[in-house]
Amino acid sequence: MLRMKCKLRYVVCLFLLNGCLPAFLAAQAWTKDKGHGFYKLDFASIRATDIYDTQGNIAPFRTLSNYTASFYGEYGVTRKFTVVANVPFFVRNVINETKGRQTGNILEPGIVNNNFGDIDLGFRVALPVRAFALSANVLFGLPTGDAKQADGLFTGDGEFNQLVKISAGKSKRNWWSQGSLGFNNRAKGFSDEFRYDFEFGYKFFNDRLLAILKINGIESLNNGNAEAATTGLFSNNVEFAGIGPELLYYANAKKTIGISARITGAVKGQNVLAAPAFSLGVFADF
Amino acid sequence: MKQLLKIIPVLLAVLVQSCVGTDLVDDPVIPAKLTMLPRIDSLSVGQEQVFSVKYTNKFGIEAASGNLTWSSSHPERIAINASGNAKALTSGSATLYVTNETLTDSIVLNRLSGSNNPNNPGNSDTSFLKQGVFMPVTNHYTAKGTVYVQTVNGVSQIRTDANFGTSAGPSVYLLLTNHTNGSYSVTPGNYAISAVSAQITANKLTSFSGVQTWNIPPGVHPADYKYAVLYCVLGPIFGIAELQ
Repeated sequence: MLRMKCKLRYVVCLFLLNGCLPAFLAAQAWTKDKGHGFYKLDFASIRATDIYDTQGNIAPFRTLSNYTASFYGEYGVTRKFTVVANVPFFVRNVINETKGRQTGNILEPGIVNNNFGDIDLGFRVALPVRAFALSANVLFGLPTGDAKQADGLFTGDGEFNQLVKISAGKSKRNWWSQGSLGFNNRAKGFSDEFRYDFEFGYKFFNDRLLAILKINGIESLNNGNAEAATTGLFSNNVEFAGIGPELLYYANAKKTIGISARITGAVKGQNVLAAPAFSLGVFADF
Repeated sequence: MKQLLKIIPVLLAVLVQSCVGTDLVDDPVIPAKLTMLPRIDSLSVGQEQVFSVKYTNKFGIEAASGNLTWSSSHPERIAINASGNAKALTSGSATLYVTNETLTDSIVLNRLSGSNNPNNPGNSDTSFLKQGVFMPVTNHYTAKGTVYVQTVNGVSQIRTDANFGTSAGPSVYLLLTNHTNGSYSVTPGNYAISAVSAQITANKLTSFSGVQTWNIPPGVHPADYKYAVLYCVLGPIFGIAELQ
């Protein structure tokens, strides 16, 4: 049991927070009704002192923090066609300075990069299945972030990736469940990836509180030749398997405005920071 | 609704004001050093010289040297008293020693003027002073080939051979150092020279393989360092060559 706890280290891929996938992934098996939308302002942070290296082992690292403010939105153009956008409009990456404990000398200066992140644009199409919800999701990752920062504190990967995913979901009165399987085709020498996710949600208090358990992960095909950044930011050959809860609370009786909180963790990783990730957000659903 | 929207500026303020923190780490430990000054190599007969010492502890900090003992290998040629005052009495060479509780330093003095500094041969020949073979620290990164410390026309250089290769990185530097614990002072654009390390590449490695030559910056004495290190500012050491 103790061994299991030790292994259950939190990890978050910063590229995940920064934009390759939307910060809010709920209900991706279902399209929105025509004229309806979901919009969210999300603030995420991670502060890591360890990193999962290229072999998946946890190794110590200078404290690296990432703060991301992003807008996520989805809108039903028709009952079966929803457009999706994720815009990380402010990404702040920070590496701490190091100071000698004995001498008090600054050994290495701190490094900061504030920049725009990679935008994701896409759409979701409902597929004609009656027994459960089924949709095809296509997401384009635009290289709008900074992929050239001199010290490797990138806010984007500099490549145009295309994610195609099939999502299936089922819901009853107070609960829903869904899962997805997708393929992410990455350019510029980055390895392609399989991505998967599963979630189970339950509604409380007259459907005003939504509790969700999310499982998601990435398996790299390791078929790219791009160099992995030593920071773990937008590295190549990234892998992880994560689990974490999310709470959404509707602040009004009409259930159009609410707040959300999320923790993301993982049981394994490769080329990613090893630390818990937290996010808070406000959302509108109408 | 209004109360909810008040959260947004609070979260934005937290985001923007998140400062660069400080990681406290153990200072790199280096050998304590006792250095006799000035570093002269000759005295004329009848000439006197007052020597002093500089003591740096295991963190490279200058500190009190403790009780000193001065001696000469040939006191009949060059005498030195308990205060470090030396005088050349007759022709010939001698070695002067200074010792505290744990360390000793020495200087070879010759009555003849002129330099016998092997770092400054004064001709166009290349003299190889040290060399080492880069070895990777982990199997995650590449480091291979031989590195030479040499002098050409009196200029100290560090050179890699055709087999040299290292993993590419956004901020990889070549350092001379006496320790391999991964904590170095590196300042992009400047040679950061200290007791901890000497930075050879001022603006990062731009080529990660093959023959390359860098002039060793003024003030760096390559003989003082045991290792050549390929160091990435953002964390790991890619490779180490022990210089012999």
